[in-house]
Amino acid sequence: MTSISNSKLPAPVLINGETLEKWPQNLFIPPDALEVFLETFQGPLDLLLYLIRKQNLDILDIPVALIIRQYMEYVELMRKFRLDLAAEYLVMAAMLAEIKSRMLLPQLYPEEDSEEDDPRAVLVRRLQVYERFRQAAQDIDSQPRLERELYLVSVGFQDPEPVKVESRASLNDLVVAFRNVIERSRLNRKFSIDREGLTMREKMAYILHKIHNTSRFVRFEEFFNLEQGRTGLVVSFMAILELMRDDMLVVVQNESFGSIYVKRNEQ
Amino acid sequence: MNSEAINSELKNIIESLLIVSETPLSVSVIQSVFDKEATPGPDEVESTIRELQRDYESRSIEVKKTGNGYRLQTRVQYAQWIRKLYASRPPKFSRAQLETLAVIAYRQPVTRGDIEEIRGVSVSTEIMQRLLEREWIRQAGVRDVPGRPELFVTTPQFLAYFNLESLGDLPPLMEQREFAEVAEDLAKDSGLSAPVEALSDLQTSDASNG
Repeated sequence: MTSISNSKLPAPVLINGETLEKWPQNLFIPPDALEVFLETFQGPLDLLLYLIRKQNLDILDIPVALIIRQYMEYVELMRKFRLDLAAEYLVMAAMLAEIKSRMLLPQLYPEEDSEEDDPRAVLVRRLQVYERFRQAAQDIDSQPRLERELYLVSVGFQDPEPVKVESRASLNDLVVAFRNVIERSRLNRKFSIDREGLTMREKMAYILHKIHNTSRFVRFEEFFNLEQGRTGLVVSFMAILELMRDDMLVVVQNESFGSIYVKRNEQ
Repeated sequence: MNSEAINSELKNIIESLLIVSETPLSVSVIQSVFDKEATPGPDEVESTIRELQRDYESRSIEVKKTGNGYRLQTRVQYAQWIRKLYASRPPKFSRAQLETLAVIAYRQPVTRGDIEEIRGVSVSTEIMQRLLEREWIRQAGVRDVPGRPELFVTTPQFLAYFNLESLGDLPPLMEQREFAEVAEDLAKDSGLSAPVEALSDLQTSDASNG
């Protein structure tokens, strides 16, 4: 792509009574600056405000051909990076072109020269509104705020001995813990063609036996024999659920995602 | 105890709550720590807080009301030393984020479409997500038009973060001016923001290279 910013004008051009021999230099942002450009401008309105500011560009007399050629360079580049952005700038370029073309056409009813009929009115209004909010964003940014100017005086509530609440494990907690067991069994896979009869009764008896002689808690994972494969694990899990339902077990979990412990119900 | 002593005790109680609390305390929350028969009235709580504010006048900290709660904070002018103590850099927010936030704050409730109309660019999901995660904005129903777009409003956390008592406390929006005036003013204004300046440098160097 040849940059039009450095080329000479084919012929001297008279603009507002002044002769122009070269394209105005700083109307153009070099393609290399595209990334800076994308970072810097918040969109076509922002770019237009910038051009007006930088060029002393009269919004009421936009050199639309120039701007559109520049826009199209960006759009071409942007298509490679951000298609969504290209679309927004393309809409703006189309809008500028429309304004210019409507201004070039003779007015059919010149007496109806109200502001509403001026093709520039819509764009000007949008620029005005955008400018207000751009300023508001800066105002909010300069407002004193937490983490920058203000720090909370807060010692926080420090309980010297937090009371450990023995909270009951929910079904969901059990399922999560069981999934971990299954996960572990995958690392310990064993293939066997022997069919072992695994009954839930057997498992329930095994679990009750394991906790019978102690009033202490036993870790949930200890009830599972990884050697027994997936079926064995599922049967063990069902046995625990069955015993819980019969109120034979107390199952606790003291913190979220912490270990689950089981003991016999002494009541 | 005479009434003055009672009052100074109440002041100490409120002060101790403010020192410990990690979130702003509303008058009703302050009232809730007292026994039923000893609960001070809302006016009494507020006048006591005002007294506390006077006590702090010459100190490094102040009692600030944001949203409907009071909190204890260090004064703006001591931030530079505090930051050095922790060698911390305050978080910065992008212009896109701030502009989106500004539209929501001043025009709430607004839809994404409203924001896009004003800013002239599409609002990325990421920006909305960040504002929602910060809990500065929340969804408040939908607009009753085809597509039923979500409406967004700001939250008390937004007020708290930006040290505002209420939305009325926001810096006033600049007057909408005639465009000719805007253009004239912009042309005079040489205070271009830093990135734009950097950009114009790039242009110049590009021109000289060519």
